[in-house]
Amino acid sequence: MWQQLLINGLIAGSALGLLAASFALIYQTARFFHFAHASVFTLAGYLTYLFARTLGWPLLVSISASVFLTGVAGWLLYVSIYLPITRRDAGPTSLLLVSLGLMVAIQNIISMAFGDELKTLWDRPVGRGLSLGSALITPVQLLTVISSFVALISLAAFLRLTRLGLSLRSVADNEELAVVIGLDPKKVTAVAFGIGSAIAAISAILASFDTGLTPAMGFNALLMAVVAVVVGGVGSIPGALLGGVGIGLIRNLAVAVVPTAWIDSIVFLVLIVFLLVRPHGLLGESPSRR
Amino acid sequence: MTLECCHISKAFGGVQALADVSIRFPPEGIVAVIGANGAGKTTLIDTVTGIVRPDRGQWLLDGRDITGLSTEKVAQTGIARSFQGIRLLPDETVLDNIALAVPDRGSETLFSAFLHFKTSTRRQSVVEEANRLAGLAGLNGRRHDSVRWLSYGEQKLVSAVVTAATGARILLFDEPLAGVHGDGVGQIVSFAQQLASNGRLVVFIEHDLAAVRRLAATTVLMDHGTVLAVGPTAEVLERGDLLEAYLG
Amino acid sequence: MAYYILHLVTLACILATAVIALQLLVSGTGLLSVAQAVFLGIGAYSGALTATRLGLDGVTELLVAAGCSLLVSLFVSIPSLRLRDDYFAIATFGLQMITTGVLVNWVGVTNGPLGISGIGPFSLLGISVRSPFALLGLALLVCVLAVAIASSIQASRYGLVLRAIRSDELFAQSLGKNTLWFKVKIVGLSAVLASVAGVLYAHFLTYIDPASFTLMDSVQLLSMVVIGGGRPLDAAAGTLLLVLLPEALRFLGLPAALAANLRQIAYGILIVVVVAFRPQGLFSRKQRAT
Repeated sequence: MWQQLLINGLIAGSALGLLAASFALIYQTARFFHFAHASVFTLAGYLTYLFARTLGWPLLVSISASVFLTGVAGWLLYVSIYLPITRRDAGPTSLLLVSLGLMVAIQNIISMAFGDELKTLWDRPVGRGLSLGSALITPVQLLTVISSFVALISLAAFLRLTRLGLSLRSVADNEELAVVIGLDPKKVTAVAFGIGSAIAAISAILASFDTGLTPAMGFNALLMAVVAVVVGGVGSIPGALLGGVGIGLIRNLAVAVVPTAWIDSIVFLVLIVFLLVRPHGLLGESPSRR
Repeated sequence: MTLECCHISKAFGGVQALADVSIRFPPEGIVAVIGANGAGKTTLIDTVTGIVRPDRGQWLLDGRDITGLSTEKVAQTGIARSFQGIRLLPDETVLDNIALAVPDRGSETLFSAFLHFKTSTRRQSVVEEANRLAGLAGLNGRRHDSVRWLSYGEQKLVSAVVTAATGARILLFDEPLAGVHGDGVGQIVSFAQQLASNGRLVVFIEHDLAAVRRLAATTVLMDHGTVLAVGPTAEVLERGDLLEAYLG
Repeated sequence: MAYYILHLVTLACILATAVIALQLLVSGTGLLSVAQAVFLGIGAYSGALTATRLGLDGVTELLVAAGCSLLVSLFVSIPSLRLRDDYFAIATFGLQMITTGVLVNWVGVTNGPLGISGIGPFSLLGISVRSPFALLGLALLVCVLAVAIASSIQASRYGLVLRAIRSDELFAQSLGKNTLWFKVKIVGLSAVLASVAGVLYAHFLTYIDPASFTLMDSVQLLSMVVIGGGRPLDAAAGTLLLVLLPEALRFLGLPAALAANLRQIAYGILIVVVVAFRPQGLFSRKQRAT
């Protein structure tokens, strides 16, 4: 049983880590908590549903279109809403509130358009999975772990090897210095929003295959992602990934020990413990006093 | 009150900002700290005011070790500082900024915050002291203006007054004249002179050597984290060899 | 119809008290909390339990409520405020999520999702507050008291110190202010005030359940601060607006689910618009809410 729980945990954790990493990417460059990331997540799931189920497009086309459009949507949110507001001298608190407002509005628009009932992306019977020792891995899980892996490797490669990736890291590391060497933080942040949203889309589609679609799915997923980001270390993308895997493991392993209803609370308790004991998370920098 | 630092060292990453700095300050008067940018002047002040923790060494106040005390505790022991640039409350009036600095623990309990029915009620003695200091600095006409509307030079003057309003016997000013032109310089200089004539120790970091000559009895010359010379201002400024390191 | 309006205004007065308490933190001290519904809930639940399970009077309810919320606030504020203020916001997030979990799952005490019903009228020193008019009077009195306290703090030197902490904490410290204690105390006061509102809330609703004290409820309280403005009366006005406005939608004769969605969308858009175009709030002329 433990092997199964472990496998479940690692795989769920990788999907969560993917979302957390995308959130961290945006936070690093934009420097505020973009809660509307949850709406972008939800949007991706529903767009895929729209393309694949309602319009009948081939699944792969639907997914690609959805990922692309979600990336654009994220980019658009920054460029048309956050950026103009930043120009009016708004601090991180104001931007956080704006992102909350956006999240609420978009979630409810989706609810109005598609209804609140659970929807599924894939109706055909699922094939047999893989067995690993005494554990069984479903095809969806297999897809999840492979996609997450590929997405994360691509992200890492992008950040490390491309020019744009380097600009992103520069702005995230030291915005003032980045300006000095000629980078435009606004353009770079916009790109971060686009890429981060696209990655969130992948995570959303994987989640949709696993547990279906509801308008609140983004909100619920993001709650966990925020914990993952804090536990992993705010400002660290590998940390977010690690945090995500960790939370995934905790959630799945805890099932054996604790009634299911308490599992969410356990996760938030972990958050509080980390804040008390190691606020900078697993891989973050030690907090200076200011 | 005598202030002294012994063997203060501080490194940031690979950069040695302060290396074995020891200075015994006079009990009162005006001391200037000069040196090129990056010489460690601000860092030195940061180490005594709880902003940076020295790697080695101690700060002693009347023989008491005050190294590593938090910023607010240091202020409470009677050492106040101003910052490079401007650190004030832009949306409050000049008078309120000064009044905030005047010690008034009694009004800072939660209990005392109730039962204020008029806007901006302040303790009488605090208002008087703030007005007095504003007058001393020549800011009477600007007392009720929001700091935001003052010129840079006026704001620097307010900064200096705020630091003095704390009632501290030791005042550390970090580049009080930087960015100030014309009359503003004269106003801040004369204010500083009045402070020192009251038995206080005024230490200020400056690049304006004319002002240093006018104000400071003693000068400390720093370079690359070490003290190159300490002594009467006229002497230190005569040391051509050292000044070359500074200017060249 | 008259009773309906009475009901709404009473609700507005009760919530306004909690909102003004939150404003002390957000506008007054620059601290972001997404857990105000927690303290409202602690007030409601301690009041309800003291009344129904223990059969004690209103004054006891208030004392229990205030005591519990003060303790909880200290537990959260002291560890997190020693770090950066961001961590306080995250800690309140954790507190809110854990509280929802506790309210839903600790069935022995809170009766879980079924909530606590049959809450009788509030009794103060032997006088039972039965009629809706009396309850309105009480709620109004408490609200006026909250406005008085908050306005007084704002006008006082204490409030000036809090604004200094909000504007430039290092500056305040350099003037010898022990900023940690100022922040801890104001968080405590805010919690106590909110819990007083919570006690009234329980008697007003006569039935409470965990669904009234979720993260979204905290966000709504926050939006009332932001939309209202920086002064206590502005916050009260913002609360009244946001309580009355969604009810106006009722008269459009829309199906319930749709109306609920529209109401949330309106909330969301309102926050974005106000923060973007009128950061001082709708009712303030120059005092910023955040």
